[in-house]
Amino acid sequence: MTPGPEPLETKTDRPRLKRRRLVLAIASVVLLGIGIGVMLIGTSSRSNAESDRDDKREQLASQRSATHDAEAEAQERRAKAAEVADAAQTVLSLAAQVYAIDDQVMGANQEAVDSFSNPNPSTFNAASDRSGTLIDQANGLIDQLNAAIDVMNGKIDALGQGGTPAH
Amino acid sequence: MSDSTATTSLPTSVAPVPPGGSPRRRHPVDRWLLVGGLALIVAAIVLIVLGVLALSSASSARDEGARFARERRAAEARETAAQGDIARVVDEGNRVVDQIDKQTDAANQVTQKNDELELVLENATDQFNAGNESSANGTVDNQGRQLLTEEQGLRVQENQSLTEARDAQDKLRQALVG
Repeated sequence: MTPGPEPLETKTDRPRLKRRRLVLAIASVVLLGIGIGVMLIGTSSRSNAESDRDDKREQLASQRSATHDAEAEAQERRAKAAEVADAAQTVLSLAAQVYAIDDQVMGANQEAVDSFSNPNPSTFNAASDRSGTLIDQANGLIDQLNAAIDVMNGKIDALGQGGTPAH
Repeated sequence: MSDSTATTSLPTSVAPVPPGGSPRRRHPVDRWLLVGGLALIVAAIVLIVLGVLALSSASSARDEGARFARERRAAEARETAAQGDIARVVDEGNRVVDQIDKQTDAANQVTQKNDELELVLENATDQFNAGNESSANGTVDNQGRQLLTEEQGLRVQENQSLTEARDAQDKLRQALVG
């Protein structure tokens, strides 16, 4: 029997991949995948967080502006309300004086009514004259009172309307 | 076949067998696996580091965003308080004016009664001067006293309105102080 030609390489002689290097290659690919994943997640997360932060920053700036306006307006209204209170003080002071004079007018009127049937008319006449004088005084005060009420109404109108707050 | 023939027919591509080792050869891809694997590892580490930095940056941005949100809420609360302050001050101011209007109305009614009483007394005086004394006395006793009674009732209302107007003004002052 004539033997055939021998193979150039036996199974043992063929070049073989080193298992460690293969494992290293596979592990490096896996690691690269992890790296890409971490990078993507990190980038996406940063992008979202920064976008959200920028939105909140804009909202804060807008809110600060609105708050500043509201506080400026509140301060302005307080000043106007103080003017209303002062005007009301004047009105009430005059009203109290009118009330006090009215008290005296009523006393004089009471006396006039009580003394009307008195045979001596001097008491009635005196009471009637006193009442007339007091009413004249009251009318003078009422004129001042009406002027003070006009001033107060102007102030309350200004308070109700407010104004453009200063920036 | 003789031994000498067998020796001369050995293939020349077979590497010499190391002493005591097996006859293995390096695979051509082997080197590329090593180099490529190491390069990928380096790239992966760089990517991981960049990713972690991005995550850290995201965390900082979130913290900052949370701070902005807190500051916005605080500013919003201040705005609400300012608006409440405005509404309260305007309401108190309007209340003062309303109370003064009521007081003025009450005072005007008192004045009206005074005018009516004055007229009654004038008429009674005219009747008295015309010699109709009993009719004059009757007018004063009936209409005059009736008007006086009504005027006293209106005076109570006027006094109450004046007190309420003063209270309203005090509240306005307190609102301005508070």
